[in-house]
Amino acid sequence: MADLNELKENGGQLLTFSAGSEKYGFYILDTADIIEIPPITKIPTAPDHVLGVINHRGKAVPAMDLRLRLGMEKGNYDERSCMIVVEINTMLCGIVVDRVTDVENISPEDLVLSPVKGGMVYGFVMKEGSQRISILDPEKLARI
Amino acid sequence: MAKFDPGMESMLDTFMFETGELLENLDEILMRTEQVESISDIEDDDINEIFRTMHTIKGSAAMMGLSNMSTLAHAVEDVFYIIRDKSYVNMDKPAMYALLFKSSDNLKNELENLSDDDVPLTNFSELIWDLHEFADFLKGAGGDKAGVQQESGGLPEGLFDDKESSDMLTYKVTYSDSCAMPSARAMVLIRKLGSCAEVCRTLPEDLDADNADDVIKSQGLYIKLITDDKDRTEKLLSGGMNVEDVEEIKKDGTQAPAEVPDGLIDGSENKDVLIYKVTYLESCAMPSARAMVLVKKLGAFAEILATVPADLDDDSADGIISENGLFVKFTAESKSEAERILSGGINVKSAVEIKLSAARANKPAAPGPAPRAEEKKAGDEPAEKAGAPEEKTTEAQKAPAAEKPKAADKKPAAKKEQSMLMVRLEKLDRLLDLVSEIVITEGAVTSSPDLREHTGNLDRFNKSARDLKKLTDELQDVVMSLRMVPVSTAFQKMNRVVRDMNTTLKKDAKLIFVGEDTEVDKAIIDILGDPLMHIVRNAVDHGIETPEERQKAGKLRPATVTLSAGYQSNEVVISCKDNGAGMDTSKIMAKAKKNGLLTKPEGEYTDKEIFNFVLAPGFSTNEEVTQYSGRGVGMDVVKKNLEKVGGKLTVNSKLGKGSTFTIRIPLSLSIIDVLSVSVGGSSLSIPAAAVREAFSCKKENHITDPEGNEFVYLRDKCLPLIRLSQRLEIETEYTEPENAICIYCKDGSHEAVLMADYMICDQQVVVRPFSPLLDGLHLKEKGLAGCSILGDGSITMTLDIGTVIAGEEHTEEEGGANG
Repeated sequence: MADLNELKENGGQLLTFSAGSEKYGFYILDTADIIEIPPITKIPTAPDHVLGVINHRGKAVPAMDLRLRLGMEKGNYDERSCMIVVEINTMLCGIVVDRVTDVENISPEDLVLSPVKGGMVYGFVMKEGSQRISILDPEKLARI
Repeated sequence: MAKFDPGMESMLDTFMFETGELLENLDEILMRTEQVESISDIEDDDINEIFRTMHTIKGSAAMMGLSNMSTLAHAVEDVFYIIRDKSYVNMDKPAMYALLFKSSDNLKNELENLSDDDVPLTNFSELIWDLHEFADFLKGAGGDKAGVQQESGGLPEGLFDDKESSDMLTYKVTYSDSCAMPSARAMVLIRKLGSCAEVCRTLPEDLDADNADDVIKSQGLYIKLITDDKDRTEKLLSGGMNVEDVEEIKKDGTQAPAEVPDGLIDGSENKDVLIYKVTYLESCAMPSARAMVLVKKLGAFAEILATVPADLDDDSADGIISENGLFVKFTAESKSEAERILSGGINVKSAVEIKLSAARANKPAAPGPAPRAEEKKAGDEPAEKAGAPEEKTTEAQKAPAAEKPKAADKKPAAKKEQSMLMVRLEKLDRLLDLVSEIVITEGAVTSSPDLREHTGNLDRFNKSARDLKKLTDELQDVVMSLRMVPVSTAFQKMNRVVRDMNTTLKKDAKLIFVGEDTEVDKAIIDILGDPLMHIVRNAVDHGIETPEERQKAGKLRPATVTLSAGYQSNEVVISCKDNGAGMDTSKIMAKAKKNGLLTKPEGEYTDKEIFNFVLAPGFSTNEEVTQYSGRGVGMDVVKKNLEKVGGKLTVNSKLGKGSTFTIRIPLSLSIIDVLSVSVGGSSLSIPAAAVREAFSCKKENHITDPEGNEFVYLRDKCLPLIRLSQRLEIETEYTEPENAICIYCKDGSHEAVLMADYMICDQQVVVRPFSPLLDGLHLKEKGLAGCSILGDGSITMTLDIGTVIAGEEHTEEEGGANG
């Protein structure tokens, strides 16, 4: 897993996406793949935000719903919705998002750390004239 | 700071593995040889093996920079040196074995502590001192020490004749152990020598004699000759078939000082200059290239002054190096560092320091008079001493001698290596994973839905598909077998456990193996190690009585602990049976009562249930706590650890007759046969090993008791009914057992009927545990063991049948309330 602190120190690229009206981002080095939402096998007894497991290149990878994970309402996913596969210490996890929007360069000055340490949101990108991006910590998001 | 040489970190794994294996092997030999009446009865092979083992450990520990281990190994080697040469005068076998086992244990401990930086390197000096003491004792302490050695290791009588001329040269030729007929080789060698030298005499004199082979093997071949071309003669000698070593023997009993080629020493060297002779393995194809690399490497730590041959790029360099060895002259700040680099070079057989004084002594035409003090040690080989100052004085003499055991140890090892290959387990696992995927993908290809839509002729495709299936099946079998190792590797370790306990507890238990060549997956062996140890310890400590007690009880047969292994359906069954005191059910019951372990009235417990208390946490019937057992920790941990990998532990016992502990572990930990069923659209797989029967339940056989518990009456049994949909919180329309499918499952002593919507198929799957990211869901505890990707790319969840069935007891009420 790429170190988010590296992003704070040197800046870097963010993969941005939306869920509901909010804009989020993953540090690009944390992401492994962007795929269409594949068939998902439900895991019995698992909570709603754990959608189940998917067959990602021959490996069973858990899949999560970003909206439900963040406590939002279930979304209506269409053909432009997709799954971002993030990598956490060589473990993979698929995360379903409404839309992948862009890859953005950010510099350390743009980044404001969240005062909550160890939360799902690592920090925010605040730029004049553009929407706020919440940078998510994939490990906190994926580990249940 | 790391304990070992930082540059050697990559070697650490290999070192630990190899040395660990060697020590295990050593233990086994020690155990075997300990039975022998007297030391002189120990077979030469065993002694040589011990010697070689210690020597290899010494060498590799030194290479890693672990001087403490290396010195300890050296000290043991010293002791065995004396035994090998049969030059001992005194013998105290028990003391010797105590020392040897202690050394072996210490080395093993050190090995375990290596990777832990917090534990400092152990100082073995006390043990080493003991070993030296013992070595001195063996040799017969004091004055006659030298005499004894001379007698045994010295030169054969009559080798030197007073009348012989001064230019008569004497060589000792040693043949390698593997040489079948050294006498024949010797004859050929002598005939060859005829071209450049006049051979005057040999020892043994008659090479045709029947005993010549033995004499040559034990003492070596001595050749006396006169020649004008000494260099060529020596080359011929050392180039002879199977010749391992050639030494020049001087009349006064000293060996020739190390041979140093012309031009290497110019007399201007100060005392910091080091000279090493590096000998490459015979199998090394291009020693000059290796030499170049080595010299370059050395250059980083030392200043290279000269090498012989000087030009390593030269065409003749290969020949020179393989015949004479490579001489390197350099100055280095750290001698040990340089030494390590040299001896650690690829294909390097030995790197020996040549003392400047010795080298110079050799330079003048007349050989310098050998110091008298060294004479007693010369002849065959000096007893190597670990003490630093002594090592220095004998260095020059050691040079040829040190090469000898090394060569002896290299050769048989090389033979073994040809048919064995060490592979990292991770690589094998990866291979196994891949093969499993191939098997599944193969299924996906040959049963692709596209084929069903295809209307044309598929005969050729089907034939190829069948061939492919055969091949993949075979591939799978082969790869699985790669990981198979005989259980004897785990059993053998117990020998040592029993031996130690016999000594300390004054018992006389004999360990017997049955079916130790049963092959199981390597992972299982690793799992077995600890449980076996605990169980065997318990058997000897609690089970087996002391010889007096046995006599009192009228037991005539010797106390035995039998370890047996075998297959039973899909499981490996390992049992440990002792013919000791057995367990007293009333005692266990009383203890269980005291510890508050009873869950039902005392009278209702069956013997089997009572014995199971032994496996409960904090349970020990032995009043005394001994060094080995009695604290009651252990058996429950053993049980838990076994359960983690799907294994089981059961106990059976008969008072006065003995107890049996049985471990059952599933044969393969990766690919299993499953019966897949559908529940509310989810695919669930039940391990086929647990499935006894699948049937549809008639209405009259479905019983609901007033508390709401459901049962199925199957033949003459009433079994609890578990609705998978309910247990796993899946919604389904199949609510009545008579519409759905019932599967009668048995897991150990638990049995139940599982209810699912319908059957899908039976198939083979690779069960993968859920991603650690999902740890928080505690899926395992909920009855889900993992998931598997099927041929069509879909995923099935495999049930942990033990949890599903056994869990029934705890959730019965809850289930009843919901139903």
